[in-house]
Amino acid sequence: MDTPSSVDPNAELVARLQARIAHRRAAGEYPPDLEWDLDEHFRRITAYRAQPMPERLTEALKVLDERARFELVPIPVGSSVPGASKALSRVAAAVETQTRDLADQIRSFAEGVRHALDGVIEAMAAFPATVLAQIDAVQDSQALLDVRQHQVERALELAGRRHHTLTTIIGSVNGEAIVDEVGHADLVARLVGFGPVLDLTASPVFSAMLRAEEVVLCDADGSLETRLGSYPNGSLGAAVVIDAAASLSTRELPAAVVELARLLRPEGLVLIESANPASWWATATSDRPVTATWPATWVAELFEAAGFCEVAIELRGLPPAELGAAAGAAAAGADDGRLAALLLAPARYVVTARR
Amino acid sequence: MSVDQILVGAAPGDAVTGIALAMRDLLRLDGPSEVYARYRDPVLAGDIHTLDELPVARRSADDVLVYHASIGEPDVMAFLDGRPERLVVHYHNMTPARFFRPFDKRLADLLEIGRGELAALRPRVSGALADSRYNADELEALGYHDVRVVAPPVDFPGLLSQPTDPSLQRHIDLHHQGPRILFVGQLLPHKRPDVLLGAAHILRTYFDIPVFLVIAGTPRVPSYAAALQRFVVESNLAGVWLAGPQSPSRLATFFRHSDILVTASEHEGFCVPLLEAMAFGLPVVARAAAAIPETMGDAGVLLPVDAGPALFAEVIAELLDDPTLRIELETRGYERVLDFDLAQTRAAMHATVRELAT
Repeated sequence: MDTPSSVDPNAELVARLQARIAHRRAAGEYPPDLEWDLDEHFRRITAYRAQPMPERLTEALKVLDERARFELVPIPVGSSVPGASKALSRVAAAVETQTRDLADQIRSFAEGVRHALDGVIEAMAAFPATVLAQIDAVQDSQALLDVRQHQVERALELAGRRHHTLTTIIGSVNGEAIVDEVGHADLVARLVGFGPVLDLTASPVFSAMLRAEEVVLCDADGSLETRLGSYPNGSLGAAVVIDAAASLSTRELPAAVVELARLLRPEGLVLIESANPASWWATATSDRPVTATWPATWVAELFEAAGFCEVAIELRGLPPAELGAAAGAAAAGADDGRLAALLLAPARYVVTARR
Repeated sequence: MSVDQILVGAAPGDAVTGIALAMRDLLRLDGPSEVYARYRDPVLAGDIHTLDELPVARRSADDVLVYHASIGEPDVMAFLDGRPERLVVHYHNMTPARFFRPFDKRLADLLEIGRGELAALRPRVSGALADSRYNADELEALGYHDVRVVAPPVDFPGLLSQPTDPSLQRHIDLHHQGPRILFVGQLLPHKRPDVLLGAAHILRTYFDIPVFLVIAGTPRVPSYAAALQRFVVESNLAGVWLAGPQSPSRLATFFRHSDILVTASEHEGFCVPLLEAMAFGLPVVARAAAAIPETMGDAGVLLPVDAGPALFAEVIAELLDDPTLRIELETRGYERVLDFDLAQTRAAMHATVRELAT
């Protein structure tokens, strides 16, 4: 095997690039301390994790202990003035009594601080990762909010530039589930005419399908409440609510339908796809809490009351194929009619309506 | 005569474990040969034995143990102390403990005592080999003589023939728009992936180049991996994926779908990913640290050991902008890979171990 004698054949390239960096710094193309900032930033993050909080507190406690070792300073009582020593001794005795009392109070206070810190150390030693994780989670949430806000602004800007109304897609699971359960090409085809699509969740497959149809998709994952409130009346072309509605309570669903009516322009389309809360299969296999049970007639009335027309409710999907036979057998043997209904209820709900 | 090997730890995807298994297959051409480890991932139970399974009966100074040294471990030292076999040391380098001290004190301590253990073993050792001249020099500084240098066998044909992982390819196609920069290696402090994150930040923020950086490797030190993740979040750095451990198929997929391989590592005893990337035609960029210049030769861009994120960003931008340079590096890379031909490195390793064992 050859081992080259010259280890840096790219010296000229490196020198040229280093000169370019110096030029960029001089021209103010990036901050002169940029690299130091990056390094310092990472150093701070690692230092924070390098020394567990309990260790820091233990060190603080040691310092407190050392400082709590008070020494009484002797009071000089000697004097050349006749009788003064006696008087000074009396004053000194009084001051000493007072000082001892004060020192006792300080010791007691220090002991109290120490005791409190011990409790904190004990708690943090028991759950150090949790404390760190919680701090991280709070910071993550803050960062995420900024990102989401930027994404929504970008979506709005895009829609404005192209003079299109927005389509919103709310909720959803992963892309494969959308394709399997709802997001067939049919849905994509229906969305083409509506221009840019604002998607509140990341769903790779669905995104790809839209992109193939040249539908502009903006990812804007975030909470429903904060995202929808900012859109003006009649600003959306369509609303597609995937795998989210079943998590709404019976009180929240009517409010959501009214809000969708407000957001959609005339002729706007709404499509809701959800687990059917009345189905055991849907609730047993869902990884999300299903909080509501809504009969089809009630849902239809909600939409009509909110001003929608062409309301259609479709119950889709029998129990999973591999469970179908077992479900049928169980239902046939069940004495309880409600149990049979539960086992045989379709697993999904699809609601379509036009504004 | 039997020749067996001793590891401190054995895990899938670990380079030293891979070398030991490759060496075992070669030694079995001559006779029985096994690999034993103090700590063993249960997945490897069929391939690697634990130390207490190594028999003492019918063993003598005619037999040989090859000890793979990459970290300290008092239990293994005590074990070797009581063995009748002759001892050959295969040195894979020990990362300086200072890199690990802030994150994992126990690991740092083991690395520190490892060098002391190597020095203490020397009177018992009848032969020594190392992955690189750099490693051999370190061993000789500890008093070893006549250390043989044998490059580890890198299974280029095996990696090149791995099928593309379809789900990963789909993910990359959908989400990794823009130039793709790849780092391959365990997530360890001395590999300095933080420098690469800084470079990605500069490329995206100041050069307006929407690079996508994939950091592909096992996070061995949880606190360090958490710090990296935190750095990504706090820097609001888009286009970075800390992708974790990879199967051979996924690794090959990353190599096939990347534009440049880059590492800011400050310490390597050999650095296999550089060669793997070259085999896939990727230009490589690295710091001229430890054994990296020796492994890379003139087939990549070598940066000064203290190169920071700005220089990495400039090199990446230059490579993305200069197809002639990329092609030149690609050609040199293919040539360099020929220097590490699998059949030749296997034969060299086999011959060396056989010679040291007799």
